[in-house]
Amino acid sequence: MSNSQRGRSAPMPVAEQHADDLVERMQGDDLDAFEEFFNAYKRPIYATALAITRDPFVAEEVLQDCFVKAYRVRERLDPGRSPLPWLQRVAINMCYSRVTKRSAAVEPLTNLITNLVVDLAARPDQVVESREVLDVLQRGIDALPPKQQTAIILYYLHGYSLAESAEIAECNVGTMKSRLHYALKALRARLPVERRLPVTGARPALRRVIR
Amino acid sequence: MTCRRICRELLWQARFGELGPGSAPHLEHLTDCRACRDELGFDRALVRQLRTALAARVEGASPSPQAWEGVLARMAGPEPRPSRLRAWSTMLVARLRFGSAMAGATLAIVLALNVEVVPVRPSDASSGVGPATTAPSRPLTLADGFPQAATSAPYGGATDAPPAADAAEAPALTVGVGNHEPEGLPMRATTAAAAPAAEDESSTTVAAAPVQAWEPLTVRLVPADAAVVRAPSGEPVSEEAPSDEEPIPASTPLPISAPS
Repeated sequence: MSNSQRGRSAPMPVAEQHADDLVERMQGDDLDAFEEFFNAYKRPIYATALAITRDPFVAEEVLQDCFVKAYRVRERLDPGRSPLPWLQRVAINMCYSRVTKRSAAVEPLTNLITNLVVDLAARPDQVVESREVLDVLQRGIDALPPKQQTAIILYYLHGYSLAESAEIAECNVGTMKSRLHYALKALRARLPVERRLPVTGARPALRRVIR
Repeated sequence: MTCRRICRELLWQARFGELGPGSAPHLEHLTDCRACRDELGFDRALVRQLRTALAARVEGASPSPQAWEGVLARMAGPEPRPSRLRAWSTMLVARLRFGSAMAGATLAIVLALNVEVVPVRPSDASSGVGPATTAPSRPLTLADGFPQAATSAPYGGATDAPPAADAAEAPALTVGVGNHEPEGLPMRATTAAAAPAAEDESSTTVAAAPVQAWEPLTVRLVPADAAVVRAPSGEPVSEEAPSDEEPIPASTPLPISAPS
């Protein structure tokens, strides 16, 4: 499974996102360029913030603070490099500084609403089963250490490559792999024992791989 | 390779898209091992569910249309100043790090040079009794321009002997830490008065008492190889024997004991 085959929720990987001359124009105090800059990068930053905080309001605050900071330190941005890793890094740090300030992890209201609304098109047993697993996983993700949480968000949610994820997280590729490994291990341990071995469909797929 | 190891490597390769020609033995094993298939199948299912769970967190979410106005409003506000507590804690952490690094480096140097700290009284050092090294150990005085405490004689330039002679005779580093004299006490005067008295055999012990009271304590960093050993007669013997002496066979037990 190559990186290009993985599902990506982010529209573009880091390497393909060129700031072009936006940063240079921003450095010339061009506010229109800053707005373009904001529109170009707001979605991945907001997604990261929302995935970590699980609160749309906090995520938007992080988004705004992140870009305000980007404008204030625009002179230090390198026009030759994509600003996305830096923006992601700033957003992640802001998220965790806010998350740790909150005394308790209060489940956002939107999640409660989502849990109350059942997709009637699906079979009730499947709905209950998948919701149970997803609920366990969501709690598991919340309980992960920040570094592992960041790793799975960058790699599995945004679809960044290992090298890109490592650059954003400011670690090497081996460390990123290790964080992903331990995150999956922790998530797996959270699942009920009877849910840890769903092997249906694994064998035919692997047979195809071998041939 | 064991089944467990194959499974672990296969999981690793599958997770990070590293399956390749080198994975053929692993995949071959997979066709015959039900447990490994289960393991890999579950891992794939877990990753799939994890992606679903993560996507559910941000599904359909986008910043509100007012987000840009919010950015402009925040930019118009005053730039937040770093809190003093944060700056103070950052400075403290930096200093602790620096201190730890310096302590570690010092320890590493001591270990690398294979030296040990040996407290030596000046009288021992001057008479040659004590450590086998004869490094000049005259403690620094205030007249040398340095405080008496925490000065290093060889590096402080306080020794009378030339550096070449030091190197030949004394591989030890002598650190004069001195007994800290309470401020205001006439240390210099007492020492000056006591020095001739000590040379005079007829001097009384009363006259020498102040000297002992404020006798500087010298600490030497002595190479462990040159650690002082004492012969049964009590005379100090250095393991660094002169080269013209006949070497002692390794099998012969030395009738010496290490100093306490």
